[in-house]
Order: sequence, then C-alpha cells, then structure tokens
Amino acid sequence: MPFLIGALLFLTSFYLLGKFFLKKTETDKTTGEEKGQINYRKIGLVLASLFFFALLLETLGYLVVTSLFFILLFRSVGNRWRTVFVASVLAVFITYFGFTFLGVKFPLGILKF
Amino acid sequence: MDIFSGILFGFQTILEPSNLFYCFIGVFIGTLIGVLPGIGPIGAMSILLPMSFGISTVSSIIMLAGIYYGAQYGGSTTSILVNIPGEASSIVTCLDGYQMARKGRAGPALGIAAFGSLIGGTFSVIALMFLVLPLAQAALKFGPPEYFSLICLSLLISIYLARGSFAKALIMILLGLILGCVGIDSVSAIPRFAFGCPSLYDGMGLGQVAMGLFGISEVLLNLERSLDRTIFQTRVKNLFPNVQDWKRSIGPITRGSLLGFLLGILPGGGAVIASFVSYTLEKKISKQPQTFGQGAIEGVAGPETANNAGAGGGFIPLFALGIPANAVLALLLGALIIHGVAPGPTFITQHPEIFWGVIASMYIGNLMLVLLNLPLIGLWVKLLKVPYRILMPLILLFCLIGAYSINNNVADIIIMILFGIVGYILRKYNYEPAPLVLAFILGPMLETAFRQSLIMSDGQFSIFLERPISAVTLLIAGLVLASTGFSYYRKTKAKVILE
Repeated sequence: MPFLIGALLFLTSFYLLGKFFLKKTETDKTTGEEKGQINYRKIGLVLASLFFFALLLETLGYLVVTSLFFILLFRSVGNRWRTVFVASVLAVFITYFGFTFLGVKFPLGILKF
Repeated sequence: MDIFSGILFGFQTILEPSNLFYCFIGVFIGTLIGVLPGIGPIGAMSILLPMSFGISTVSSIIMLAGIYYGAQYGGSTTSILVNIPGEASSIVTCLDGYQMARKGRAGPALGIAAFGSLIGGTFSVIALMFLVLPLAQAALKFGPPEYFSLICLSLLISIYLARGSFAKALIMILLGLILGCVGIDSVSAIPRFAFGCPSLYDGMGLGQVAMGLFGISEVLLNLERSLDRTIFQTRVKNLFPNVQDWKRSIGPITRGSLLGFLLGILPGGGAVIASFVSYTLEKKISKQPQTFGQGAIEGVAGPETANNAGAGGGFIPLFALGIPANAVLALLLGALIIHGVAPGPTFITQHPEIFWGVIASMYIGNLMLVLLNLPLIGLWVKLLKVPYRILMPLILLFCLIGAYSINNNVADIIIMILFGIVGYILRKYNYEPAPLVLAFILGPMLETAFRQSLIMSDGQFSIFLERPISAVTLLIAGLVLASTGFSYYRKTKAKVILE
C-alpha cells in the first residue's frame, strides 16, 4: 500500500512536470531579461559558507566556525574589514550566550570551552 | 466548560507573568519580522520552533501564535511608509497606503491600519470562540474515513485558492505528499525513501523543511536584487484618524472583519487572500472607485482588517479538527505535536489551558500590538535603515542554529540547506512553497486516515462513500475539482476561439 501511494504520486507529478515543460516555451521569454543581472557569485558564496558551517561545525566547534562564517559572509556582501571584525565578534558572542541561555548545546570542537 | 468560565480560565492562564512575557515576545517578533522585508512569519516561526522546546507548551503556542498575527500588523507599516510590503498579506495596503503617506497622511493611514487590525483581530477571536466548541463537538463523531475526506477537501481547496497556476500548485501539493512519506512507515514499520540514511528514518522534520523553503531561500532571493529602500522622510503625526476618516472606514472595517474571518476558515486561504478580496470588494462597491490607488482610506482599512481577521479564522479548523488551514498553522500544528499534544476534537477538553490560554492571549496580544505599533512607530521605521548586508548573515545563522538544535544533528542542517536551494529554484520559477509545506504536514495524516479506513472496511474503498459526512465532503471536493477543470476548459476554449 505505501509503495502504491508513492508510485501514484510519482507518476502524477512526473506527468504534470512533463506537461509543464512542454508548455514552458512561451512563458520563459518574459523572465529572460532579468536573468543577466543576477549575482550568482554572491549566491554561490553564501551557499558555500552554509555548507562550510554545516560540515565543520562538529570538528571545529561553534565559536570558531561561527566566527569564520560571519567574517566570510559580512565580507562577501561588501562591508569594510573593520566593520566585518567588530560585527562578527559581537554577533558570535551575543548569539553564543543567548542560545546557551535558551538551552541549546553547541559542539565544543577544538576549543575546550 | 462553557464559554464564560472558559474565557475566565484563559485569562487566568495568560496573566501568569511567564505567559504574558512570551505573548509579548511573540507579538514583538511578529511586528519585527513584519517590518523587515526578507523574512516572513513562516520563516520566523520555523526558526523559533526548535527554541520553544525548552518552554512550556502553552507559552510556546502563545508565542508562535503571537508571531503570526503580529506580522500582520508590522507588514502594514512598511507598506505605508516605504511602499515595500513586509508580508504578502499587506501587498494591497501599498496601493493606497503609500499614496496616503505621499500626501502627508501617513499618520491616519497607520492609525486606521492599526485600529482596523485590532477590530478585525478581536472580532475573529470572539467568533472563533463561539464556533470552535460546537464544531469540535460535531467532530467527535468523525472517524478515519471522515478525516481522509476532509483532508482531501482541504488540500483541493488550497490548490483552488492558490495564487498563480493550478498545475503548479498541484505539483507542490504532490511533492509535499511524497516528502511526507519519507521515514519509517507508521503502519508496517518499513523505512521508505530513506536510502539507507539513518537521519532520514525519522522523516524530515517540519522545522528543517520550512526553514529551508522560507528562510534560506528568501535570503538567496534577496541577494539577487539589491534592496534600495527610500524611506519616506516625513514626521509621522496625527496617528488618530479624524471623524471623517472613521466614517469612511467603518464600512470597510465591518466588511473586512466578516470577509477575512470566513476566508480564514477556508483551507489555503488565510490572511493573504482575505486582504486581496477585501480590496477588490471595497473598490467595487465604492461610490468613487477612481480614488482607489490614489490614497483612499477605504483601501487601507478594509484589507488591513481582513488580514487580521483572516489570521484568526484559520485557528478554527486547527483547534476543532486538528487540520491546519495554511502553512503557518501547519507549523503551529507541528509545534503542538512536538510538545506531545494531539490536536483534534478532544483537544479542547483535554488541554483547556492551551485552548483558552491562546484565545485569551489573542485579546491581550492584539491590545499589545496597538500599543507597540502606534507610539513606537518611529522605532520600527529606524529599524528599516539597518542594511540588509548586516541582517542577512544573522538570519542565516538563526536558521543554522535552529536546524541544529532540533536534534543536535548536523544532518538536519544539510537537509535545511538543500531545501533552501530547492525553495530558491521553486520560487524563481513561480512555484509557491506554501502548499508544499501544508501537504507535507497533512500527508502523513492523510495516509494514516486512509489506511485505517481501509483496515476498518477490509479493503473496501466504498467506505468513503457509505458514511454520510465523508460522502458529502468528497462530493464537495469533486465539485471544487470540477469547477476548476471547467473554468480551465472555458479559458482554453476562449483562447482557441480568439486565435
């Protein structure tokens, strides 16, 4: 029974998707012009830093990873270095204490505190 | 418990300092995210969902509900002053509200929006209180077949009411149903779609999915375009609308309350649709429709009332039947389930403190919101000046920590990021992720109800048609489907004839 439902859902959605791609040709033109301005580099950077955070969180620990994460992100959207450091350090500590206060346990990682 | 002693009990619950505090936090965050474009109530609620595990069930539901209706208030502020809707439900407020602000009448516009919201919100809470009890009584007779039909109906209506393409909404619903299947199957205990990955055996959490689809993808979308905001440089004065304003607004506010409430009950409707319908209605019945779009106060009062009333109306199916009407309420349902409370017809008798507490908190919360919004309007406007490049990393970090803290598991973060990418792509091609989340939470309920019914009937599908309530519900569902198909057919026919 579960597989029947699953299979049914897959079939219908694939059917709809297929139908949709066939119709797609006309509607695509309107969005075409906007595409040139999109800043894919920025989006890539943000995604990369998100994965970086997820993958290294347990090995490096919250404080290190979050600091690096903030420095990367603040810098990538074009702040000056001084603001980058001040904001990162502040944000890291405020969030750290805020969340541990709320009962969230963070991985310690290489720093033992 | 009758209504009177219930409401007394509710106020007793809400007046406990800790509940009052969480109610305040809720409406405060609600206003905050309402003001800030780039993160909506769904995103904020899913971020706060894991953090509410530590506090009591009543407090966390009060807080999450506060975010929901608080966002409706905050959204109007940016619409009026900056012409950027903070929320989808205040898009129409931009049309007339911003024009009023440009004519130097920002004060009355903000004032009427806040008062309209207060009236709409309070009206819907009162109506909610009177409607939920009889409905829950009736729902006690519901068995799995009735639930199956009801969920089918609500999914269909939510497709019907979805903005944009019918096929796209249908795809989103189906996708949500598939995603809801992931994990160990509840009847036969076979893992499905887990691909041998232990983190998927439990299914994907609502928190991660919603945060990815609404939090991360929103940030990615905002990165694409640079948000320049030109904040309206006037001193906001005369927040209290004058007598003439009131006279013009009283009609729209009354109609908005009723309309919003009724639309709020419908699945897939809620605040967004309510505000659009109210604006169209006011424009249609107005004696001077040409003033709409040029700063007509009716165009602010109606939709702003309707969206708050709609936010309240949606609680009826949630509390009486345990079926959420839209994605935000699906999150609330998720929160209830995580706290170990089973919503459904017995919910009110088993957990009166939650039901009445939340109702009372809505009265108090609506009052708090007016106090928070009108005198402090300057503060919210200043907040708009915080550049997005500072805000963006913070929103992302909140999502990351939120996802991690659900199970202290890094795999949850990865799931969330992947859903962020999926959500980004979906939104770019005009697919609404809201039906997906709704189907994602309703999917397992639908499946369990379906299979329990079949077990009851020894595999006879006719059980859905033999029971009267279920049969009628399915009939309505069929009619909804048929009417959509018919209008689609007519449209295509008209197109063919034109060509």
